[in-house]
Amino acid sequence: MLIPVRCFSCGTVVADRFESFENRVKEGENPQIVLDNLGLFKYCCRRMLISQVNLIDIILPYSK
Amino acid sequence: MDVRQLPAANHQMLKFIVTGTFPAFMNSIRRIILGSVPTIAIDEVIMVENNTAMFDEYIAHRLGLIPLNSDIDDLNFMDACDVCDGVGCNSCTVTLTLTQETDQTSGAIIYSRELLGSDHRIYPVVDEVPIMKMDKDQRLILEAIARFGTGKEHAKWQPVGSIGYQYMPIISIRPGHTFTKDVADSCPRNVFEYDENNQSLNLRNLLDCNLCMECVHSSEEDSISVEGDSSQIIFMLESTGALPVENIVTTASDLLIDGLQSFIEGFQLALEKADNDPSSMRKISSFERIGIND
Ligand code: SF4
Ligand SMILES: [Zn+2]
Ligand SMILES: [Zn+2]
Repeated sequence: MLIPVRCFSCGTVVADRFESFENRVKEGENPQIVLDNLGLFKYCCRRMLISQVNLIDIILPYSK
Repeated sequence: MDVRQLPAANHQMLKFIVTGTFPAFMNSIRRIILGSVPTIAIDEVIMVENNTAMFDEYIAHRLGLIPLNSDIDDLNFMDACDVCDGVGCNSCTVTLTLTQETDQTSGAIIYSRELLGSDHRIYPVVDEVPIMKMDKDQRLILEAIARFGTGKEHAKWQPVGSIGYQYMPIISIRPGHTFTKDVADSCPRNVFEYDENNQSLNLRNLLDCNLCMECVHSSEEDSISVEGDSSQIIFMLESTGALPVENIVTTASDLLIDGLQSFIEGFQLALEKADNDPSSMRKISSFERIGIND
């Protein structure tokens, strides 16, 4: 679904960094370096971005 | 007690080393920061219209987790508000509104910066949190009510993301002992510097050591010893942005002092009572306290 607002484990806000992470990785940058640049040092926060699948795009047309 | 600040990765993080303390004391500060330092967060959402793909609850939950600037002191706690008696009024709550509509041709992403507060000092501290993604021809109109709360009630009111402490590492390397480079490489924190000529180890960044003992296991017995000194504690915390990180520590310390103050007052009162009426002490200490009489 949408990227969770905060890291499940530690509570740091991670959602604001997902878009630039996604764009930069798509452009071919190394995810490890991008995560370092974005200031996510703990592995709990890093997995939030790495493991995110934007399923929201699939359900988007099925509104109420 | 001596406190020395250490360099941190960014302005939302704080790292300091305290000497002449003990773990229980630092832990009480940690727990007060987690549970009792108040911040503002959205607590109630009135949905006017929502025909996006997600349920009202999902959006409300996301809104609650967005940190709001809480560095103000003239907003009452709702439970203790003397204006409204805990119902909610302008002195204890702040309203934020969100209105977003998409036309027939394109969708949009709603970001946290589009939350507009009735009080200009209360705003989302991170602008780019996506609240919801919208398709064509959808509408999201809502009113969110934010108030002060503490982490005891819900984790969204915690002023910090991660917070913790560790003992000061004391590493002793046996002088004159020869080491292989593997020992230096085994450290996940790059604490050692390997000297090729003398085949010896030097300490490079001692404070990065996390006491994992990997170096002890990968070297010969008794050549390296690693110990934690519990009287020197390295404390680190990371603010969510709701409060400046220094304020979090000072507020927590004030709360600890207040708590101890009221404890001493209550304790003194109990002692006085026991002095005047010796039977009251026995009563408290035996049956009445555990309710055996009932
Ligand atoms: S205990 Fe772990 S972190 Fe500390 S120096 Fe040894 S290997 Fe490095
Ligand atoms: Zn985390
Ligand atoms: Zn009120």
